Amino acid sequence: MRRAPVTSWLLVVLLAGGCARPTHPGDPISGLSAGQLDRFRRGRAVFDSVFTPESGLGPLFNAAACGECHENPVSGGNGDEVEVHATAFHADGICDPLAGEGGPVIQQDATPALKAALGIDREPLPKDATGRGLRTSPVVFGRGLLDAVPDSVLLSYADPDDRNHDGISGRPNRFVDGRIGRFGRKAFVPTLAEFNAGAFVIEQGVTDPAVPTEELVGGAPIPAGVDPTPEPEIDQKAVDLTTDFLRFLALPSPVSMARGAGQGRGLFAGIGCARCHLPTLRTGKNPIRALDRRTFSAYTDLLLHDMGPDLADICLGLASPSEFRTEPLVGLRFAKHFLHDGRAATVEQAIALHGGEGSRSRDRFKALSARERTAVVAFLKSL
Amino acid sequence: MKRTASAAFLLLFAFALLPARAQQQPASVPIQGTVYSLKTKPASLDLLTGVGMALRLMHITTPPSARIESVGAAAPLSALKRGDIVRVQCHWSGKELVADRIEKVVVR
Repeated sequence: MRRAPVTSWLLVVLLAGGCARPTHPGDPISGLSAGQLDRFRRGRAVFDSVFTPESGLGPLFNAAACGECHENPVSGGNGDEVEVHATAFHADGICDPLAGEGGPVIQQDATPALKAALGIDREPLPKDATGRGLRTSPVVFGRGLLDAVPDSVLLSYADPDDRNHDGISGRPNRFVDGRIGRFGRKAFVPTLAEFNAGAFVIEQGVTDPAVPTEELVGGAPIPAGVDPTPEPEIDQKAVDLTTDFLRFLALPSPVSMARGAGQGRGLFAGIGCARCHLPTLRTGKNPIRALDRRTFSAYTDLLLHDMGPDLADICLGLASPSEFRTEPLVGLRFAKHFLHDGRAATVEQAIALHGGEGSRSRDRFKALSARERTAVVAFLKSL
Repeated sequence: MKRTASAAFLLLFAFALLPARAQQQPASVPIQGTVYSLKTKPASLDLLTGVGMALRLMHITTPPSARIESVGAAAPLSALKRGDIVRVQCHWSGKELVADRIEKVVVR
């Protein structure tokens, strides 16, 4: 089944639109215990902590704080930063993330000590890379809800062989150990906790108990004396608090819809966008009451879809260069650039750049009247 | 070599977390990942592992005593290929990771 139940979708809209207190960006999800709220607040403090070389930053890094890239309009929002990923896609279909050459994330900054030692101000691109991809920093609101959706739900939406002949053939990605992935633009990482633990290392160069080794510098070891801070540079308690901040960070309520946006919501579904950008998902049984069996606005199926050759960049896991995870659209109103690499300046451009499995809906969007297209965009900007 | 050093660090770290009594026996650690490369002489494999987007290569030697299973049956190391997902039970010899058992994982 590809379509979310209409009744549950309407329920979410009603709850978000008027029956419940609006949730603002940066708010915790409702229904947390006092202890969970305390962890949310303390986790946000770690998220906003600015690291220095003395406290573990680098030697290679993209930013000095989580909050540096996720700051607009509040902690957990998006950012202006664009990072670089590189991998190698081989003829036999196998993707090499170039872990032995410093990939797949190629850090764009270096500490003064590393600059002095190697004369570089960023990590070099791996020599074996066949693809290079740019990645904007998305909002991370509601990621705890996405984390709590059972794998079985994702698999129920998958249709890798397009057996229903709708031109859409979503499939899950797999992590290196075979588990189903869902986080990241290629849906590579299985859980929020792992994405977060890995992010401390690849984004800030801050090692943690789960990843107690620094990134390679283009495949070469870090020169002696450049990174004097003993590993791990942050403890598990701090990592777990940060994960709980993200886990408990709510989806902001949609803003009041502009004129025509209600019609735009219907058109969004009518032209087929909602076949991949599923309006709602439902969490499974969860020990955290606020995450337990909740239907929420998702606008994603967390699956990979072929978006055509024009958007293709890197492979990752099972994802070919042209396959991307359906982007969750909640928080789109905060974006200044669109698509995974920010190449689109407007929502309309982003839709126009949909290829592959998105072609049919793109063409239907183009065929709408100007007023109808405006309505669809108004709806998207309400999210 | 950096990747060996990284693997050693990971294993030593896991070993350090074990209770003192358990440390009297060689630590046996399960690692699940993707086969990155295989060598027959000397027999070894490089395994792609990691946490989130922080990926690492682990070099593991595979002595003749290592039991290798593919789909429930004993198999030679050559039955594995790049891209296969495997679960490796291994220990730290003092200078390298050594496989005790390698099992090919079927992903459904």
